[in-house]
Amino acid sequence: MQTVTHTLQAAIRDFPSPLGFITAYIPEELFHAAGFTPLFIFPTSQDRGFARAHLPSFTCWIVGSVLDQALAGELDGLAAMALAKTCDTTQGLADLWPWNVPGIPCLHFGMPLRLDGPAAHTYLLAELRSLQQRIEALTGQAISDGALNESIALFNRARSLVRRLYTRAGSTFQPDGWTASALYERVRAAFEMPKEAYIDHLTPVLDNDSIVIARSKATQQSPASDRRCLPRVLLVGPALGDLALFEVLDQAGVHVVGDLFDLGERYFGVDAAEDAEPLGSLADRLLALLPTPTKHHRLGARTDHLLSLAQERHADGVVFARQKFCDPHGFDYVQMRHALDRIGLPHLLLELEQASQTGQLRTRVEAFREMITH
Amino acid sequence: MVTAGVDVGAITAKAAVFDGDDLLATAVILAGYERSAAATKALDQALAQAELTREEIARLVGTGYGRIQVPNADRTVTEITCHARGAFFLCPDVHTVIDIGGQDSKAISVGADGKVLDFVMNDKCAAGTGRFLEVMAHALETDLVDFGPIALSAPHRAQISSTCTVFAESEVITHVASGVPKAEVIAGLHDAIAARVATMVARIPVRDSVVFTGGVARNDGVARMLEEKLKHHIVVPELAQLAGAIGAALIARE
Repeated sequence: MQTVTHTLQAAIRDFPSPLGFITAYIPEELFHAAGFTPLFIFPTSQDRGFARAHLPSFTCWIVGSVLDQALAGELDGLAAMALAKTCDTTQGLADLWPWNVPGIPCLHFGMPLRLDGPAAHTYLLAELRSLQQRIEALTGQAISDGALNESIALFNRARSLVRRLYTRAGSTFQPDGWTASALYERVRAAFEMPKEAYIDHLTPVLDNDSIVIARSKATQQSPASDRRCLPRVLLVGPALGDLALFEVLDQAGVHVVGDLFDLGERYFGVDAAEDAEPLGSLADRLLALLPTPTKHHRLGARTDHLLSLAQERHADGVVFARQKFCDPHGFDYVQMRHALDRIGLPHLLLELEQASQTGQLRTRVEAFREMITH
Repeated sequence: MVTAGVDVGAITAKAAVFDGDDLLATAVILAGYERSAAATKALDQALAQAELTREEIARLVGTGYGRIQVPNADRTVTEITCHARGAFFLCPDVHTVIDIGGQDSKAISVGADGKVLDFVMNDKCAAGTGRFLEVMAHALETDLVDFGPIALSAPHRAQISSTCTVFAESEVITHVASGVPKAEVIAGLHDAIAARVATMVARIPVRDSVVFTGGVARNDGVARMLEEKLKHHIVVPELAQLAGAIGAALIARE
């Protein structure tokens, strides 16, 4: 399958009112209803040095790279930048942004820290209403409930396609070329183009692959590749991982069957209700997402989800792809690791830095694959 | 069946040749820049010792940092898996392997039959690797071979607080300039590397027997100070540096 990739600069140039964002807690539908094209600003491996002048050395590169790209002028053309209080570092970026990137308006709102508290919904709804007013002030146009409901329906359709992608990835039989790299290129593409274009592109591809797989199963012939011999792994980490990591996983010969990436399955697993007051529906969706480690929720929620997923997907192991200096993911790792040890499921911790040292990754991943191959 | 394993590391290339369960020959040479040539040379030396030819090898496994540069390898296997297997051959009741090589260090939890249960690695920082000791030996104008015995003979250990090899070298120079006896500085360096490695090892369960492999295992000073830190007896097999190549040759049979 041919993947569709846009460079960020081409996307900023070509798509209407491009909006940058870097966390999963942005209500993309609200911005879309206002005419923006939400685009996730993925970190790059290049360090131009601009951000280092403003940020402490222990800042995670997910945030550092965005500031670096902005200060290098590579985000020029963005109509706005959307930030939610996901963690202290993103909050810090929201504080720095107006001073250092004055040409790109920053729309920031407070995501509650405690997601399951009695005031969470009330608080978040108030924040989203305030955000809506600021968006309307920026664009000069009101956002109607009708437009918002249409955006919600559109994003739900896109999410359902990504859920099909994940189901395909977890399947034992796949068309040739379906690898972790292929999966995550396609998942990532959901954040790199307008949702309308994404749906138009992906739907026929998924339908065609289904035909290929059914035919191959019936005839017991290729091109479907049988991945039953490969060990099955789950991935855990912030954002959407690192494309270099997926190449290493593929070359090592493991089958990625699911993830707990902040922008991965947990993000696409929850839709917004289409038959409710739309802003409230968006608030409900954000609160219903499996929490990131930066949010307070029922203790053990993420660990329980990981164990459940491991059982459901018949995982042979778990790979933690931790971004250096993303400490909240480090906090969760301890509990998750102990839980995996109790059930005897092997796991591997990788620490990713801004530029992927593939040699070191390769040794660890290959050794892990050797460890879990029966 | 004759099998061979070649372990191409940062500093040395090692080879081991087996006939079934019998270890016939081993070789260790400096790797230099051309890793493929070093792999070939190490294997040829071992074969010459065993009075065998290349054509008599049924299977060859490459391992180590330069494993993809082993010519004609039937398979490549990581050094983690090979060191566990090799340590199991050298010491069948092994449960923990500590491997300190030229540019990395690792700790491996070993199960039955030499299988890897868990592992941790340090390959981002020279402190805690053979490179650390090389740099310090050069700074102190002392032969690396003498480092361990000197360390064990010192009555006191100088404090080396820097966790970075580069800054530790500066500390060493400061100590020497202050008149601290060289032996105490060397002892302090060994204490520092042992402390650093012990911190890493503590991330996996440490169970007897604890086997020390890799080139740095030849340094008795590091081995004894690791024992102090871990509070476990440490076994140093005679062929410790060859554990990776031995494991690779045994895996070649499978």
